[in-house]
Order: sequence, then C-alpha cells, then structure tokens
Amino acid sequence: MSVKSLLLLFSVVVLFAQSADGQLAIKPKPIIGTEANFRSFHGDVLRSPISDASVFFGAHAGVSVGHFDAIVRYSAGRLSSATRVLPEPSNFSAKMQLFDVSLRYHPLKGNELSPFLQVGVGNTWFSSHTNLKDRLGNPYYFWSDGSIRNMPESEYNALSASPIVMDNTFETPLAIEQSSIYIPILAGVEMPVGKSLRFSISAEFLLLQSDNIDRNTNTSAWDQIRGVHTSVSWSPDLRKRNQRAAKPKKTSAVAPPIDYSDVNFKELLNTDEDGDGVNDLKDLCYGTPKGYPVDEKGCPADRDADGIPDPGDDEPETPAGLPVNSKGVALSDEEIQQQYNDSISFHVKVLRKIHKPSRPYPVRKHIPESNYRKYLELLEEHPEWRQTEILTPRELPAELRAIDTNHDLVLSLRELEEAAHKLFDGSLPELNPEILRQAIRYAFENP
Amino acid sequence: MPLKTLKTLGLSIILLSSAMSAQLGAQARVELKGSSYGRPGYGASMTVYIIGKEIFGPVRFIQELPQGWSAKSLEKKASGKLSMEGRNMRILWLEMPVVDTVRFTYELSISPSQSLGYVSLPGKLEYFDAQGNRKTMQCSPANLRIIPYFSRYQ
Repeated sequence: MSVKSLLLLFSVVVLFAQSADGQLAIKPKPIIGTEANFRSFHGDVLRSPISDASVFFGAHAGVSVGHFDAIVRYSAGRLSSATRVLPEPSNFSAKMQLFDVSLRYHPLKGNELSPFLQVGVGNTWFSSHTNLKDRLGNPYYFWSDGSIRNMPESEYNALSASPIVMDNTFETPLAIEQSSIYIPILAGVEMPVGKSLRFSISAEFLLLQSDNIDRNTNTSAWDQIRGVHTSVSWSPDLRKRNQRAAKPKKTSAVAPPIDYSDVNFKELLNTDEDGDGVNDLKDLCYGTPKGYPVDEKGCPADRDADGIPDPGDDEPETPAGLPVNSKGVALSDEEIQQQYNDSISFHVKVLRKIHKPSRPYPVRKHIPESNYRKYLELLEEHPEWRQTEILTPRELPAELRAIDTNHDLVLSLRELEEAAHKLFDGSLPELNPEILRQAIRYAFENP
Repeated sequence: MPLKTLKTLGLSIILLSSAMSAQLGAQARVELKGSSYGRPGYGASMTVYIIGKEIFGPVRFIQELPQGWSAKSLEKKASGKLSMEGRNMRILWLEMPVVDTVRFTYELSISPSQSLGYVSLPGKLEYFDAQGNRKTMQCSPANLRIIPYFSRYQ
C-alpha cells in the first residue's frame, strides 16, 4: 500500500513539473536529511503532555520541485505512556517503526523563513507491551490510597498486603507485530542554516487508523501521535553544479558581464553629453564636436561616406570607393604604392629573419599571401638574400649527419627511430649507442 | 675452532648471502603477460613489463609473430612506439621512463587461417649497457591457446 502511494505521489509531482513538450519545466532538486521527532501518545491510556514525549530518530529523502517537496520518511523509536487514574490504571510501551510518503507545500518558497504544510500517508509497524508485574512476578494492585501493593485492595488484606514498587520492565505483550496506516500532517517553518542546508521545525500529527497501540479501546477514537518534528535537510542545486562543470576553464577570452546596476537610465534619457541635440541613449556618435550638424542618430553628416564627418573632411565629396587618409582626402597612386611597400618591407624583414629556405615555412599563415608571394619574387631578384641564408645553415654536428637521412639538418623523430632500429640491427656501422643518445638529446634541445 | 670465530664466520656468510640476493633482486628483467586464449580472426592483448631502472634507452622489444599475424599498440600515451617489420613486432623506446616498471600493452591480431592449438610467442629485449655493449634479454614466451569461435571457454 505504502509503495503504491509513494509511486502515486511521485508521479503527481513529476506530472505537475512537466511542461507541454515533456521536458521538466522546473528542475528538481534532491533532498536528503535526518530528523528527530519528539512524539507523545494520545489515546485511551493517557493523553500525555509533550514534556513526556519520546524521541524518534529517522531519515528522509525526496525531491523538491517548485513549491512542492515529495518526501519519504522513516523513523523509529519507543512510545510509552502510563496512567494511574483509577479505576483502570494502565501503561504500555510500544516499539514503533514509521514509514510515510508525503507532499510538503511551501506557499512562500524562496523566503528565508518558509512556512509549509505537509500531508501524506504512511504505515507503522508496532509491538506493544505493558507492565503488569514486578520483577518477582507479583502483579500490581493500585489501592485507593495511592499505594501499589501485592494484593487486591480489601479490608481483609489491609494489614497483610505489602507495598511494592513498579519496575520499568514491560513484560506482558499487548499487541505484537501489528501495523496500521496513518496520515501524517505537519505544519511548520523551514529556514536556511548553511549552504544547501535547511532546518525545519513543525507540529506533527499522526492520525492512526488503529486503536491498538495501547490495547485499550475504551473510546472509539483512533490513537494519535502528536509531537514536534525537527529536521535538517541537504538539498544541493545540481543545476548550478552542472553549470559550473560546464564552464570552460579558460575564460579570459570571454568578456565579463556588464554591470548596469549603477546606470541611471532615466537620467540618460535626458542627458546629451556632446550637446548635439540627440539624447545619449539614442546617440550613435558620441563626442561630436560642438557646432557640427548631425542627423537623427546624432552623427554628423558624411556626404562621401568615407568615414570622416564632413566638418573634419578636407575633401567632403571624395568619389566612392577611394581610400582616404585621416583628413578624408583620397590617397594618390604614389601614396597607395608607398603604403603597400611599407607593408611589404615590414613582412620581408620578418621573412628574411625567420625564413629558412631549407625548412618548411612556419609562420606563413601570419603573413598575407600576397606579401609572401612578393617576398618570393624579391628573393629571386635578390639572390644574395638566399645566399646569406645558405651560408648560415642550421648547425648539425658532423657525427649526427648520418642520422639525418633527408639532409634537412633537422633530426626528426622518425629519423631517430629509424636510426635506433638500424643500430639494433647493426646495419649502420658508423652509429653507436652514444651517438644515438647524443642525437636524441640534440633533437630535443633543437626542435 | 673458537666460538668467536664461528660467530664471525656465520655473520659473514649471512651478510654475503644478503648482499648477493639483493644484487640478484635488483637485476632488471622483462616479462610478458596477456590473454591465455585467442580465436582465429580476433585479437588478443599482451603486455610487456620491463622491470628495473638499470636499463636506459634506446631499448627494443622484439617478438616474432606467426605468419599472417599483426600487432597494434593499445597505449594512448606511451613512451615507446610499436612498429612491424615483416613478421617481427618491434617496440622501441628512445628514452626509458624513470620508473620501476615500464609497461606497454598491445593487441595481437590473430590470422583468420590460424590453426587451433597452442602458439608460443617468445620475445626478447635488446639494449645497450653503460659501456655501449649490446645486451639481449629473453623473456618467457607467452602461450596462447587458439580456440574455435564456438568454444566452451568463451
């Protein structure tokens, strides 16, 4: 029964949390925790005060979805009660295990102090015993003078009955291994006590469908357990953990989020820093010099669209497509050639410094293809550049040249491995282990 | 013979034998471990262990494989490199890692036409000592039982 109820409640919670496309609308958070319940018995034997409550320890687990928590609880303890109210003084002690599944509703979820109401269904297993005899086997007789004696109260026994003391051993079975369904109702508050930790305290009512815990059925009312429920729950936010895990380690390339908290947008609506008549929020061109006529976007006119506003443009009607200088004047052919030559000369300087004709060109991707082609042309025109490179080759010790099979003056890993195999096979007489080790060191130091 | 002399002699023998056993224990060795069974057309994993720090690179482990067999490395980050030359599988270390035991795992691809029965796979380790003398160390062969695809051992 309780298992079915558990499945039903979880299904209800998951259904509530699902959106139309079948995805979980609100990500569930797991809950796990421990609890201590101070419970007192309310039945036929005695309606004991909370000060006489027994402590039940337990654990709970569940899932939190939106305003609802679905919780499974288990607790165990011993519930005792006793009365000496005549004419039927009685007592009992019940060893109980309680398992329930319930829904907790937080109407003000997110508040520091979150009140909640919790209702569910559960099952309890209990074994009750009573204390009718002392340790010597003498039954207790409760006399009207308040004493407990070993004989029934009568005038005949008044002199012979001896007072005896009740022990704390509940030796007589009342209800062995019985079970009962109950309805737990809790109302209380939950508060944070740390990162992902929450403490809750609530009043608890367990309405049992049994009158057998005390084995006393004087009244037709079912037994009740009332008390105070306290718990500490751990409920980590797995979404944040996943987001943290998914965050790339290197975040230097990602711009930090802009903090607009100190920006007064209302004030911006009325400010015009460059005084061009267009409010700053709508102004696409900040810092327009005073006196420049601007369009509705706050930008000064630029008739030739060369990027230089007309007031600062020495040639405001430059033909479209021509490159201009910082004053908006079209560049002459000589100036364009000069800029190109400057670019070429810069790259040629770089290439002459790093380009070794004997090895693949390593930084070609960083230089424009046109400049590289130009460099090769210049290399043809200036053979002395090549000569210079050839005259200063990469130095490779003479004893290692036998390993450099492709004669590129670089010892590659493949060449080293080939040499090692030849050394073991004895097919390269001029090679010995020391030369190979020297070559390996050289290759690692001169990659 | 005086008792003191006997004690001295006994102590010397104990010390000498301890030193010899320590020396023997420190000697490098090579071991080959792996699958006990294999099926024609399928793979069998093998691991070669080089135990001891006295061997320096370059080092080569060679294993002659039956006709039609091949091998491939199962190591993702290995200091050694496996290659095949004819029927010889070769694992080459240019530099030996400075660890007590160097391990290299590889997979043998058994020829589909391999007949059933036992196959012995010997291996040897080649290296050079500090004086440049070539050394060879044999290891106990790995015995692989070739079983049919449908076998009670599967």
